[in-house]
Amino acid sequence: MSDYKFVTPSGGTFSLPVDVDKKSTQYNPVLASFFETFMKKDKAKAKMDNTDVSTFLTILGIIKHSKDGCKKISSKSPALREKSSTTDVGQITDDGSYGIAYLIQKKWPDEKRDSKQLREEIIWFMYEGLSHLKTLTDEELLDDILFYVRKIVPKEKEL
Amino acid sequence: METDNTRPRRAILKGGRKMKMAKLEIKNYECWLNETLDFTLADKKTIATRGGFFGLAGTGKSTATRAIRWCLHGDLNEDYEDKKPNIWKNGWEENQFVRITYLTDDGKFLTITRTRRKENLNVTEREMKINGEDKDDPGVVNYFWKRYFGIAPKSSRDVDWYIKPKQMTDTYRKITDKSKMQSKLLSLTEISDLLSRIQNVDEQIAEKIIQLNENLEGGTQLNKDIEEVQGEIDEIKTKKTANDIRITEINKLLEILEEDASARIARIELDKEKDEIMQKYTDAQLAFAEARSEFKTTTKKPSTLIPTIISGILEDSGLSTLPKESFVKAKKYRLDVILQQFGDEFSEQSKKNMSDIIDGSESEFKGVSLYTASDYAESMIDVVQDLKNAIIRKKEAKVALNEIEAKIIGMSKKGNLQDILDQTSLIDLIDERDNLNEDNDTYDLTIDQKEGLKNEMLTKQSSNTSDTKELDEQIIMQNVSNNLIKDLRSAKDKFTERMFARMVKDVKSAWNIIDGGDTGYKIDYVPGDNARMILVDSDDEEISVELDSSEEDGSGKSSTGMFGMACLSMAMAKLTYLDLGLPILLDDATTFLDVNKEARALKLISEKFGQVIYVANRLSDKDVEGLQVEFRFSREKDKKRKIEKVIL
Repeated sequence: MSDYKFVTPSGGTFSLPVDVDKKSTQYNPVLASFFETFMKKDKAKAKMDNTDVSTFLTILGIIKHSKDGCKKISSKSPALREKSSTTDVGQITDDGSYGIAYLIQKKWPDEKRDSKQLREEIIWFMYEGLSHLKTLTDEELLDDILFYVRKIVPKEKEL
Repeated sequence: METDNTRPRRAILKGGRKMKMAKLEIKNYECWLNETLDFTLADKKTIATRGGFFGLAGTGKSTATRAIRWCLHGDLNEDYEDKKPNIWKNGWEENQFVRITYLTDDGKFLTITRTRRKENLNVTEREMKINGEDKDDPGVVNYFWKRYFGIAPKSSRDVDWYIKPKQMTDTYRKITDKSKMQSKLLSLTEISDLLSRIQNVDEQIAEKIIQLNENLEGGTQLNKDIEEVQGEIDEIKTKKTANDIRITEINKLLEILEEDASARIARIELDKEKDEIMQKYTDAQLAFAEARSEFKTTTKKPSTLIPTIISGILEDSGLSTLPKESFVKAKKYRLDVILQQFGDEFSEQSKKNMSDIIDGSESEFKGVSLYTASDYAESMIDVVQDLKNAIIRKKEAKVALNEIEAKIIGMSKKGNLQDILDQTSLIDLIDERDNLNEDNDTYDLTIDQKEGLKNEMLTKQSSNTSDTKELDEQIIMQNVSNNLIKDLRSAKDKFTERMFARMVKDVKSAWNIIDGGDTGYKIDYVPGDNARMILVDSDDEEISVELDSSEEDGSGKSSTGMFGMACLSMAMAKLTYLDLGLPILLDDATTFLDVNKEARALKLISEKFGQVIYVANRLSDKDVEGLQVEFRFSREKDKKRKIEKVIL
């Protein structure tokens, strides 16, 4: 472990998938619920934060593959990155403070991984999170979150 | 018109059989107590063909001739101006009888006797003998009668072999008019009988047709009646149907009213329930909004939700080796430990940041939010749990709200109670329905009655079918009989025409013989539809013939004496036609003729009919040529009648 060389993802903007576009809420009930429940500040304006959405979807992707016990991840995201809305990988990961890059490298170690690969892997998780979202109800999503949050409650507190 | 169907067909033969009266015996007949007239001549064998009864009025000539007729035909008082023959005179002890002995042309003596007995004056008996033998059986009688009279005994009384002026004029009038002649002549033929029978049948058919037509007219009326009844039934049924429709409407309306009454109550309850659910939903929405707001506030803080989840995943994967308890107390204090233990795992920048915090040059730790994640975990669980509950409650409330709204919408489809009640009242509707039901009961009863009536009429109607068939048959029969009648009439007309022509020929012949060319007048015949016999002068101009021989006609041409001669000619012609073989009695029928004509007439008649007895109102008539025997009738002072026979 001590030999492992941790990297930080390379920055730069990328386009969000079409489903994430705010207009998609008009016809996608799953995303509508998602935005309403978690992202929108104002229902009437349907306003949302691209970075927040992207971060959350990335976490969902990680949750999905953590639950599945997936041992291999990919850096090849679907070719859906053509949309006007954009975001930045640095913002998604809060420049490493969220621990997303750390988690990926701890859980799925890859000696050949460089910053560029990590960046693509993060985007891939975001897409995975989006497809996972489409299979979940709000309650199930919250249950997943609760499952992992409960893992880190201090034992003395739990008692 | 003859009605005796047993009358045989006459043989129209010239020079038929003839017979002569040989002896006449009269007993207790009117003025004659016991008298015998013998017609033989001096040789006591030869029978006179031309004889005469002479005498003044009241000497019994005509009584003698009547006796002959009575013998042959019985009582004749109904047709002749004779005295009652059944008068029985005081002093008559023996039976009344007249007996005639004829000599037939085949040399037999035929004796006919008519008897009336004192015990029963209303009945006479006839006896017939041939050569003294009793031959009074129907076969023989008919044979002789037909042979010499041309007809059966019963009808023979109509034959005018006894000729008086009246009979002559009657004959004339009948014979000169074709239609009258037809009735006279052809009544004696079978064609006429057949025609009569067919006409009878035809009349029966016509009556039957009338009756059938009446039946069928009755049938037509029946058909009309049936239609009428059916119409009435249909009308009632239409009314009933209308009533039924209205009753159904009312029932529906009442049902709706009833439904709506309960629906209204239910709806009030639902509305109440909905209000409660709506309240719950609103509450849930508010709770959700609040929970979401809390969630957002919590997750909005940097390094809260995301690092917490990441930490949880690391923890779950057994990858975290961080001393979690130390994070709770003081992160700064622990940073040197972290740096010492996990320094290799951090970037250079993170390690510098950690060092800066430790030496106090930097206050915020940026690199590893992970280590502070557990500080928020507890409150995070509450927030997420709250949000989850809020979402669930909101969803449940929404489902309940949808359900109740669906119920309310379903109810609002029912009729509007208020509208219906505005139109009419419930009681009015029920009353109307009751009245309609009552009407329908009456209709049902009436329909039953009318149907019964109709069925009765239909039964009658079916019997009319056989009448129609019979009518068709009768009409065919009528056609047949009509055609037959037509044919027969045509045949009759032709026959009559022929007979009339022949009659005229006979009359002409008689006229010519009797007239002997003295007058130069002739009998002629006008053929055609208005065929008739006429008398024409030497210029072929028609002469009017009148009954009174002395009267002159309007044209100035005299018919004096012509009438009598014409009548006699016609009488002869008729008897010729009848083929009579009986002696002819001319009772005062030749007074209009001069001696020559009289002689020619007697000769003609005697030759044609075998014998003639000439009756005249005078003492004697020796001047008449050819007369062979005279019977001179006289009356004594004591009123006793006497007959003297003189052979000339």
